[in-house]
Amino acid sequence: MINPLMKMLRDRPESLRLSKESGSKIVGYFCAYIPEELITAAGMIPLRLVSGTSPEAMHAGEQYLQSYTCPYIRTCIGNKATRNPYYEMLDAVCVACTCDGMKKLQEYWKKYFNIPVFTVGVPQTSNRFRTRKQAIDYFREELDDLKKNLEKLSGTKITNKRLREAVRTHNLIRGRMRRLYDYLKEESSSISWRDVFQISHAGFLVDRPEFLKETTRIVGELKTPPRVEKKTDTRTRIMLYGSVMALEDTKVLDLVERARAKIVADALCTGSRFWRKDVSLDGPLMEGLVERYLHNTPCPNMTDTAMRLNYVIAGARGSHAQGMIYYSLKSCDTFRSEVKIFKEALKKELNIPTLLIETEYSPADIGTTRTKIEAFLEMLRGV
Amino acid sequence: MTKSAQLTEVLLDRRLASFNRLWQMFMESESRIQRSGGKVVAKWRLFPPEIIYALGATPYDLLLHEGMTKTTTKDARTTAYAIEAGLSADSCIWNLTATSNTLSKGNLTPLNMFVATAGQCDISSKTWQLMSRDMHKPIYSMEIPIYDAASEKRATSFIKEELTSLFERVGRRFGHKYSERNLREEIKRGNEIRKLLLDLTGSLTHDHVPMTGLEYFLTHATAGDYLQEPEALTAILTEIRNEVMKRTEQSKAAPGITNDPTRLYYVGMAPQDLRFWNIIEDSGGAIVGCDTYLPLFHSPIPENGSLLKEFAGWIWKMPHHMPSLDRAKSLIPYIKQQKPDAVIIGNVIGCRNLSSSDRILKETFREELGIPVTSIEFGSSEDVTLLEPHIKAFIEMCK
Repeated sequence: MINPLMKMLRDRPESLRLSKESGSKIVGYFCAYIPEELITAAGMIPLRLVSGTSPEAMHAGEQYLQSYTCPYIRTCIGNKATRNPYYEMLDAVCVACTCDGMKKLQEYWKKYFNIPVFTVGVPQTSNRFRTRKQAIDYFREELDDLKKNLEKLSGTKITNKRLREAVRTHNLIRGRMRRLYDYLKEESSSISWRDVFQISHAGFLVDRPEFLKETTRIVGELKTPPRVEKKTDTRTRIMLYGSVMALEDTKVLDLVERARAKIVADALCTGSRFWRKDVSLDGPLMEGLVERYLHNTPCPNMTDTAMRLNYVIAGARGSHAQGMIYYSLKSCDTFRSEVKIFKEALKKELNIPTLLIETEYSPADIGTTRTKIEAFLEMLRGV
Repeated sequence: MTKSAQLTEVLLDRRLASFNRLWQMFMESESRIQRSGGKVVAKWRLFPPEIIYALGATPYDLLLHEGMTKTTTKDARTTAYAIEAGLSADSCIWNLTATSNTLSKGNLTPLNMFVATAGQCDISSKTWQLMSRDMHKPIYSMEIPIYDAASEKRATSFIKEELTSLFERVGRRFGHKYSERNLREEIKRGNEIRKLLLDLTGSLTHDHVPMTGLEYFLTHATAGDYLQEPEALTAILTEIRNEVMKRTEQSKAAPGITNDPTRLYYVGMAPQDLRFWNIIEDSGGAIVGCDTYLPLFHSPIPENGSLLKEFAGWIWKMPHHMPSLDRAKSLIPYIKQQKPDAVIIGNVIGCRNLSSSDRILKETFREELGIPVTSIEFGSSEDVTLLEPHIKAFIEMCK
């Protein structure tokens, strides 16, 4: 079902190269707080950079940042240093200055890599205190600057019409992705979380109109009931929440599946959280972008823990998860420091346990991670 | 120099009589705020204390008072409570220790509120939230947006609104009405302390360095919350300055500093273990400046004009808040003024903020100052004396 899209993903470096040769500009971005609609509206190709997480790239990043920096951030620098094909084709990058890691990332890109870096300041207290008008005003001005920078880079004015068109496309994509996540909740879903995870990552990289077509097709296929009656799926249902999870970072997923369990929901910024909430087409579009990006379910860098918690609890309840894996990248303080809050809340609200997995992009801890996951699943099964 | 009564291995300059009073005051901080009966607010180390004083409350620098290993015994270094509360064992050790010490006191803590600084150090912001939650004490987050010269106008306007909002909300909670007059008074009081500290820093430019690194560091660190008694601290700092000036007039170096020492400027996070400063001098060096608390004292806060606007602009330009390259460039005039032979950059293992600037700082200092620069790292389990060979070799190389 997802093979055509996966082929597009595999071929993407080549198709990007051809696009670049024909004059298209490619803009990468880090962190989910960058409205990619603005890049699309400027006639450029947006790439969300959450792939290429290898131990090699991570270690290459240590030439710049200490080894106790978040492995994802190290990789985002290491990939440029090691000439990852996606990174080599970039004409500019946008960085949302959310956590300490992101702030450092843009500093190193600005100093060592010779391409424009557009930073966007993101107020951290915005959700909890929505009445803080200053946060909205500030973010709006930051996005106005980003818009101007993208216009300058592309030589294309982001008119209202262009922006509306881009927002519409991205809203449609988000809608399709939400449908896919809904299918995961079914007891015997025809699509696996691994598939949806890969589709989600394809959505960060492949051509967006093509991606919309493909996701529309996949959703259509899922609507059609299968000819063969599905077997009851008795695997243990797990929800996944935590740090940014890169395309290649399948350690936890692999171990869960090998232990005869399945992931049925997530609350990752590279997963369902990214596709949540549309941009309003009513009213001024820039305000719609501010509202959507500042007030989507927040990353734990933001002070509003309650909104995150509600989203996770709703996800676990809706998917009938039996347990939660709290995935924290090593040195990701913002996620790691909230584990107890989530553990207690899930126990209290849904009576489901939580397992913390703290890891990085290295096979070194695969044995201990396997043991933890297997023990957790045995406990859930009452073995 | 004599051994401190509290710590068997930290050597204080006992001939600097006024400093001993400061040390005593520092050691009694917690019991003092317990006795005070007023509202006590836990603040992050670089949060301007004027703001809390202007609310009629007393600031308490949690990292300093609960994080430094002077806080009595080895048990104080335990991180168990912090890890139990949810922090990772590989987080910044200052935060782990301070959080653990604070949580271990439970209801006995005299703290009434946490004021977090969002946007400056994630782990501090998070630990403040955790402590507030665990101890059922209120928290207020004041946000400082990223430093980018192009966004100065909106950033300072944002901070001004944050200040207004903080004064309103926290003031309401404390039953204290904010007035610009009060804030101006507090700023004036803080500026007096800033001036005294600038004088002390100036004294280190002399060939005979009149103050040891430990005393210099502690005068700045303890001023971070004015030691809960601004008047008393001002009086002590005035005496310290006078004693130090006297040494300068007599061309006397502080005891323990060798003739013609290697003059070192220290940049970055400080170790929790105060013996580090002794090691510098034991190795033939002398500290001639340190930026650990410099952001709070780098220049006076404007006392005139539109007070909140000027204050917001001052906060936004605090050097630690800047991106690494801007921070390095803003530090260079301060460093040059102290005429150092070399720079030491201090990093704390587990710090994702200041310590992640290491490479940019090092390169910029080497390029622009043309003097040797080295980095050292402090961890949670390491004995600070293990750094001695590194420091000795560096100082030797500088000679």
